[in-house]
Amino acid sequence: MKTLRRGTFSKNLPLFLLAIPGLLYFVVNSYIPMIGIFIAFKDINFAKGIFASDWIGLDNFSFLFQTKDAWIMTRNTILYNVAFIVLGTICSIFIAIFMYELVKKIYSKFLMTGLILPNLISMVVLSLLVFAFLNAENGFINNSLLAPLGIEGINWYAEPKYWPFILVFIHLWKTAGYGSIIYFAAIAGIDKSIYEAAKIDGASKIKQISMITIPLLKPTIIILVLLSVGRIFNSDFGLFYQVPLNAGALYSTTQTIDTYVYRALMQLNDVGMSAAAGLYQSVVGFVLVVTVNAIVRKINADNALF
Amino acid sequence: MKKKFLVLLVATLLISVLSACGSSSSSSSNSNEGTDEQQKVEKVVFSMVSFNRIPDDYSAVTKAINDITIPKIGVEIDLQIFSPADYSQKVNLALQSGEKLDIFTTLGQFANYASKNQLLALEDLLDKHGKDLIAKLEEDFGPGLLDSTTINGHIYGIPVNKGMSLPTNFVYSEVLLNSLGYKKEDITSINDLTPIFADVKERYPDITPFGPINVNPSDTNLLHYLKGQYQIDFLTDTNGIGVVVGDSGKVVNLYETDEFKEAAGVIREWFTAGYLQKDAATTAVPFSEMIGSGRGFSMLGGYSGKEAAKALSAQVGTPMEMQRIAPYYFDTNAVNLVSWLVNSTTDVPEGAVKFLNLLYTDEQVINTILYGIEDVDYVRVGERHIKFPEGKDANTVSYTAMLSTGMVGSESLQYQLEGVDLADLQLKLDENKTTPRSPYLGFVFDQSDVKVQVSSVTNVVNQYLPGFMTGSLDLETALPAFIKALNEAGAEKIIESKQEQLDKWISEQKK
Amino acid sequence: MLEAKDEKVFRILSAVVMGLLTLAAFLPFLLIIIASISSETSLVRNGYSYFPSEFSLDAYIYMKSSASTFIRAYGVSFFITIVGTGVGLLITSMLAYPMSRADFKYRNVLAFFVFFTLLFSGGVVPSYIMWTQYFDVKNTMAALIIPNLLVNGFNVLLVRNYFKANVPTEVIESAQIDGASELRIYFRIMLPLSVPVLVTVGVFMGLAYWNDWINALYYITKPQYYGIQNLLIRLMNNIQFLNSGQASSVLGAQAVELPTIAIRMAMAVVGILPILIVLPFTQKYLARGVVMGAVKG
Repeated sequence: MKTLRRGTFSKNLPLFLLAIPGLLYFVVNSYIPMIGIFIAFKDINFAKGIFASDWIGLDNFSFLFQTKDAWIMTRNTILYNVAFIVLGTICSIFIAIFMYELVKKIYSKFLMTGLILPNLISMVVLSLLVFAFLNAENGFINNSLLAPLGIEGINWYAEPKYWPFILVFIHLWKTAGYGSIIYFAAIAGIDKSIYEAAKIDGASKIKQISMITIPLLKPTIIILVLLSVGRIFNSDFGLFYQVPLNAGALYSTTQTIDTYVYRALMQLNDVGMSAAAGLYQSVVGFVLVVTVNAIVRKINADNALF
Repeated sequence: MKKKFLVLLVATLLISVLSACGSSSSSSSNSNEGTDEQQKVEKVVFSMVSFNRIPDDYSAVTKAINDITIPKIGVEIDLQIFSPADYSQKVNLALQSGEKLDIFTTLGQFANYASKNQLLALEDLLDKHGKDLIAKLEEDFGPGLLDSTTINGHIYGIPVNKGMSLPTNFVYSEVLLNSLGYKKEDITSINDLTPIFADVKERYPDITPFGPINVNPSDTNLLHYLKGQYQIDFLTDTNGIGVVVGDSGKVVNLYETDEFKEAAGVIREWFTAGYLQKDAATTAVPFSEMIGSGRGFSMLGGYSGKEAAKALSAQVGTPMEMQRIAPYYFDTNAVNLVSWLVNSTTDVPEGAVKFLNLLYTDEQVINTILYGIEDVDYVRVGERHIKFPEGKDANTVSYTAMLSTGMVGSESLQYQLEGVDLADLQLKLDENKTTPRSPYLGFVFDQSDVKVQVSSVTNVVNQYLPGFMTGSLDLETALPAFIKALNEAGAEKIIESKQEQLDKWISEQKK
Repeated sequence: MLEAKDEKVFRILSAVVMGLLTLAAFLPFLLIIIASISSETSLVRNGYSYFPSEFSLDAYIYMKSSASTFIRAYGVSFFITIVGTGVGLLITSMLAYPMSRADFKYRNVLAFFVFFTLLFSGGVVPSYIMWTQYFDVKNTMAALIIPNLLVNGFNVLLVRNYFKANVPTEVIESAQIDGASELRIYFRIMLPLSVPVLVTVGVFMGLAYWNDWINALYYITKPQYYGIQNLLIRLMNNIQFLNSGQASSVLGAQAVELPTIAIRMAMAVVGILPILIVLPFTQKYLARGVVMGAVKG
């Protein structure tokens, strides 16, 4: 493939003009309000106003570290996100491949809707459905699955050890289909003649997938993984707070940084502390992405995010 | 075809931008209408919560209020009504961004707003413009109501004037109790309940005798009961870290007290005997729904007056009765739970206080806010009662905020819905004066030095408390673990800080 | 056309897997629908079931009293979804194109610039102050369309990647030799060849607009601007509040009886149904891209 020469200014200008509406939007919508990051370093006193309140350095961040929960919530957040990224990517890719197989069938529209449907159900409603399955009194699992087998019902909402599996499952159920659409679009963009050539050469289906499809999906995979890594200290609040029904007994395996901050600040209602928590999550994610991106850049500059 | 599409897009964008400009300019032209009056009239933004359906347009009600307030006190009110879902969000955003918001209320967050200097000190303004208000409060509550919103000698808020005593009631299904042969007069304490539950369980194995009144997190009102039964002052925080029992003056950890152990032990007994659901600590179904569908029997609730059971029966769908088993106790939080506050950055302090004065003393203003316009939204029945106009109810009338009676002004001046017993209303007000008051009523704890510990401790409490509330945790093993976790989270430091502040406050009271 | 045996096996496997996944997707939703027409008593007594002991339309009757509000809310949601997605797609792809060109000097700077916004944010308050005080968007349609949702860094990067991977540079070069302007290249080449990703991003944006209730929560106080999700969340929160203990201390047990669980389920149905009706139509375009992809070779 020929590479285009680096352009002169006149060549770059029209392209830059095309980019302006988008850039303008980001400046206004995202960069100007970023001024607010300084709130994380202030002790806000409303009588003085936000701008005149005192600077207190890193004090607002201490509540994130000075608690024995800090380790638990950080560990949980990271482990869940790693599981989500790895398992989610694998599931989404496979779903996309399977889905693509059937794209010419009449019922494919139906299938596509089915992929997105779980994502449309809000976490609040989902938590009620999960409760229908897991509640100790008349939940589906205890009543209809375990009881006939003679196994005593488990008090699901009081046993932390099952929840990593439950939550990962629910997360995959909700997002794998939705995420597969991107991979589906990428597969749709692959030149079909490559497959034809491979088939003529006698390549089996499995070989086709592993030698053609997945390598060609690499750029998409890398970018999605990179973006997910950037949010590795964030979590889906609905999943970790509402689905476990905010049960205290489950904290050891369901407390994430976001839920901890929310619970801590319900009483305190402190703007500076919540800004500090957000900044902490952003900075960690940022450092990680820059690092990983640099590594990717070394391997293949084209695949890097920037 | 692409070009046509693009043109359509651009056109739509332009139209939406123009219409956006159009609607914002029309709203600003509306506010210019009263300009001749504006010289003499102060504009006050009054922000309120309504639990009813909020109509799209309630300008008729706003006008009706202003017809009273402009001639009387020269104040024009901008009435803003929000649903509970977004009230605090909207108030906080307005306060933090410097938007005009003059009068607002709090649902329990008084100390927080005060510590961040978001509230205006009112004592001087009250002396000038709030004399009627103060007199009315004294009449209905007795002296000292404003102590609960006073910090360092400054009055920062005005609690709503209503019956605030919420004794703990045993709330139960009338039919079931009668079928067991008990008489409600025989039930006087929490220990009387144990044999009743045993009977229920024996006779009706499918019915759960007891459950949490609130869920998410589960709450059986254990703390509420302790407060009234043993006269425990929670010193303005709901965690239970740092309370004072009676008048000992000593700040202790609630969970280390004998009183807590005893009451938690009773509930633990109930749980092990099967009087609560196995998942009571984590269920998503409030027990009132269980009772209504015939699967539950009773719960504990804090209600003022003696008529609440009637309304509960309507809500639950089965005849309910209630019987008091513990008195109430006024500590600072009990009294300032719903208070009206003035923004510290307001540009109309005088107007705001003048309006507050009317809010507590003017029958017309109070009832217009609550019920709307006479003969349109409600019809008078006798002297103090009202009902909806023919063929209308709470959902179809053009304006009503009838569910906000617990939030606005003085209960003694509010009209009541037809059927409400006025004697009970009087009882509620009388109990304001007879309920025991904590010697520390008026003490407000400043959390700013122990913010980190509070956030840690809150998490620990959330983790364990529902379990103790429902008896699902074994006291022998879990209670020590809980206390240990609390101390590791900094509970002792919080208690120290509270004791310091309390001692200082006590010595200042003596002066 | 002779199909190899393993191809056939794979096709069958795909059908089985997708069938199971579809079941896994629809069954819970079916449960929601059935729960919304079950009586509250049977829900509380027996839990959720595909075969409830008692049916009841109480939840929908309760919502019927606000029927006109719902219709208006649907209108609002449809409007902002269509306008927002249309304009947003345009701006997003216009930004993605220069970033995808290897000969564009600033492509990495822009990529970083865009990506940074995904991680860092100033928080609610500064945005709120800016939009309400400097742009005066309170209670306007613009408030529902512009803040946060119109252009999203994630989508920009997706489109950029697709452009890079799937539009051959030869095509662009030959157009340049023919004297085409960048704008022309954008419209005549980039967009038509990228239908799959545009539809994908369009679906993402559309869903984001449809499901958004946060912009309305912050910037709207007049009910005529409530979108459907915002309306539902408000109604649900109100019901939850009325049923909670907080209410009893504030209201003094005045609350009215409400079939809360059934209502919540009914609201979920009401919010999701329109999407289920519209979505199959977009699938057509996603599939169309497949055909084009084949022809391209």
